[in-house]
Amino acid sequence: MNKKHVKLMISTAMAASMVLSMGAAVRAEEADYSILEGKTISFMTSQAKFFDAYQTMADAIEADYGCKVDFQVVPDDQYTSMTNLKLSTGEVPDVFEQNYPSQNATLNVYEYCEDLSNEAWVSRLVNPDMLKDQKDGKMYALPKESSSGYQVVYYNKALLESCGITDPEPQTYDEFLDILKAVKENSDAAPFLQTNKDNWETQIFMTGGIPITLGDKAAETYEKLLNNEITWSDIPEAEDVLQKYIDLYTEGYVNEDNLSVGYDDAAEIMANGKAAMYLTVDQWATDFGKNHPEVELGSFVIPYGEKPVLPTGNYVQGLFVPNAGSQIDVAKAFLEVWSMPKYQDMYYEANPGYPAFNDVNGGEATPCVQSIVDKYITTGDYVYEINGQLADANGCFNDLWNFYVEAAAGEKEAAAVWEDFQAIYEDYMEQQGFEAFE
Amino acid sequence: MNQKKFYPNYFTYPAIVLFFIFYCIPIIASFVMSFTNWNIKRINSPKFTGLKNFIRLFEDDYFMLALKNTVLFAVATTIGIVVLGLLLALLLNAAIKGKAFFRTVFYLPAVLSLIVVGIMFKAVFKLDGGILNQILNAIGLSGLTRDWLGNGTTAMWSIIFVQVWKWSGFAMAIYLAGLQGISTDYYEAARIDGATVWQRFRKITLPLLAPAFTVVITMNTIGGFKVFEQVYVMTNGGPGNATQVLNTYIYKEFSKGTLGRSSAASLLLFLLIAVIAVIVNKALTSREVEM
Repeated sequence: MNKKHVKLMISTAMAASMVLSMGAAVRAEEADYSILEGKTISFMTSQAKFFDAYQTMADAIEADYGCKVDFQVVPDDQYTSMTNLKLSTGEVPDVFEQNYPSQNATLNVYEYCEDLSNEAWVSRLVNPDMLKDQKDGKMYALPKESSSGYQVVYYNKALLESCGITDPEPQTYDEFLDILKAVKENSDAAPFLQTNKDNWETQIFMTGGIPITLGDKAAETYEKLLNNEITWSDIPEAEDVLQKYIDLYTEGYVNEDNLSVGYDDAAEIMANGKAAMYLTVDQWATDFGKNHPEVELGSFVIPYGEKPVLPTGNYVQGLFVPNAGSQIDVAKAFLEVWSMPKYQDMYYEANPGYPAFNDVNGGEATPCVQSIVDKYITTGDYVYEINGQLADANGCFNDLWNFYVEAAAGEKEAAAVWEDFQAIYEDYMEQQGFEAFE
Repeated sequence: MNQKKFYPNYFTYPAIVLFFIFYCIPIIASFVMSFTNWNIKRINSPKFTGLKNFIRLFEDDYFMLALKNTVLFAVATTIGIVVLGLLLALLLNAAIKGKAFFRTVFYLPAVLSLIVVGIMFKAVFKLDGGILNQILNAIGLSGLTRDWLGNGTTAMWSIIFVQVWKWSGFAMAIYLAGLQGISTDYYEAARIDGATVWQRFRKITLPLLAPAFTVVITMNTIGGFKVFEQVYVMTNGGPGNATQVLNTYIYKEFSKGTLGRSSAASLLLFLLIAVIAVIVNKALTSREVEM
C-alpha cells in the first residue's frame, strides 16, 4: 500500500466520521415525511403540561408538512386516571404526554405503548441512560427536557422584602419556619400557598421530604417496602415529614382555601400577593415568569434534613405512542419532526430551560430556576423523589395523596395515614401480582 | 274491512343483535370479570378469585364511605326535588301573571349540561370572590361565609343543592302535566261540600298526583344512585375522600387499573339500583288511584 493509498483511506475515514457525526440530525431533516401530509395527530396532554408554544410548534409543522395537531388538554386532576382509562380501553390518542420514565409501570407501557428505542431522535438525546426503562432498557417516549421536577419553594421577592426578609436561604427546618412566622406576623398574605384541589400538589412536600429525611437508608427502605418486609408505619421518617406538613396547617401558615384551589389558580394568587411562597415544580416558575414578568420570584429548597438538598424527579415530560393507535407510523414520523431543532427551539424560545436534545438551544433559563440548577444539580446535592423509586406502586399513590389531603384538612393524623395506606398498598401490590404480597 | 297488519319478526333482528353486542355482552363480561383479579397488568390472564373482590369492597372503609355518601345524596336530592318541584308546580298551576315565562325559567336548568352546571357552581361556591360568599357579605352574614367546596360536610350538601336546583324544574313539568289531568269537577264538588284548601290538596290533588310521584321519585332515586358528573366536576370526590360516591369510587378503581375490583363495585351498584328501583316503583304504584 503506497502513501497515496494511505492518504486516500485516512481522508475517506475522516469524511465518513464527519458524515456519521452529523448523520442523525441530517437524517432527520432529509427523511421523507410525506406520510404526514393531510393527517391529523391527536395529542393528549394535561393543563399543567400544555404550553402555548406547543400550538406555535404545531402551526409550523402544519405549514411545513401539512399535518394538523389536535390538542386534547385534560384537567390535571383527571389526567392520570384518564390516561390509564384510555390505554386500558384502547380508546387512545395518537400521542400523549406523561411523566417519563417514572410512570412507565403505572401506565403499563410495556403492553400498551410502542417501543421507540430505534427511532432516529434517540441518538441526539442528552441523557439517554436516565430515560431508558429500568426493567427492559427500552425507550418508550420522546422526552422534552433533559431533567425536570425540581421541588422548590418559589417566593414573591417584594412581598418577603416587605416582611424584612431578603434573599432567604434557610439552612435548617427551623430557619424555614422562622421565615413563615415572619410573613405571618408582618403581612396579610398566606405564608405558604397550598393548592390541595390537585392532590398531586399536596404530595410534593412528602414526596421530596421523605427521601431526604431517609438519607442513606432510602434505597434499603424502598427495597424492603417492595418486598413486603416492612410496612409504611415502620418508617418513622415518613411520619415525621408528614407531621411537619400537618404542623404548617395547625400553625396557620397555609392559605384558608387550600382545599378548593388548584395548581391553575396558584399563579394568580402569587401574583396578587395573597400568598408569599409556593412549593412546586420548575415548570410552574417558568410559566409564571412569562405571564407575570412584573413579579420577581426567588427560590430556595426546604431543608428537611441536616442541610438543604434538592428533591427532584427522575423524570421528564415524554410523548408516548399507544400501540392501539390508528396511525402508529404517522405518529412516529410526527415525533421525529416534533424533535427537530427548528420546532424544539420554538418551545425553548418561549420557555427557556434544559432541552432533551443536544442540538436544541435551551435559551436562558428563568433566574430562580437556574440558581437552583447551579446550586444543587451541578454540585450533585440532589435526591430523587420517592415516587420514581417505587414505580411499581405508583398506581395506588393517588390514594395516599388523598390521605395527605385528609390530614391537611385535620381529618386524619399522620400515623393513621400510613396505617390506612398500608392496607391499600398491600391490596394493590397483591392485585398487580407481586409475589411478596400474594 | 278490518284487517290487522302483521310484520315479520326478523325486522327486529338488527336491533336485537345491536342490543346484545353493546348492552348484554358488556354486562355479562362485567359480571364475569367481577369474580377475577383482572387488572391493567393482567389484561390477558385474569385469574378466578371467587368472592374476594366483593369481600374486599365491604372491608374497604372508603367503599363504605362512598356507599353512605351515595345513599345520602339519593335520599336528600329525591326529597328536595319532590318537594320543591311540587311547590313550583302548584304555584305555576295557579292563575298567576307570567306563569309561562316562569315555567320556562324553572325548567331551563334541566336542559343544561351537568358539566356546565358543575363548573358554574364551582364559581358560585368559591371562598375568595365566590358569588355566594359575596351575597352573604353584602347582606351582613359574613360569619356564614366559608370555603363551601373545601369542607367535607358543606361540599356534599353543596353538590346536593346543585342537583336539586337542576332537576326541580323537570319534576315541576311532570307534576304540572299531572295537575292538568285532574278534572276541575272534583275541586268544585269539594268546594260545594265545604272542603278547605288543605283538605282539597290532601284528598284530591295528592292521591290523583300519585302517578306523577311515582315517575319523579323513581327517576330521581335512580339518578341519585347513579350520580357521577356533578361530583367529578365540582370536587372529584374530595376534599380527600369526603364526597366520594359509588361511581367516582368505581372510576378511581378503574383508572388505577384494578378492573376486576371496579367491575365488582359496578355490579354491586347495579344490583343496588335494581332492587331499590323495583321496591320504590312497586310501593308507589300500589298507591296510585284510577281517575
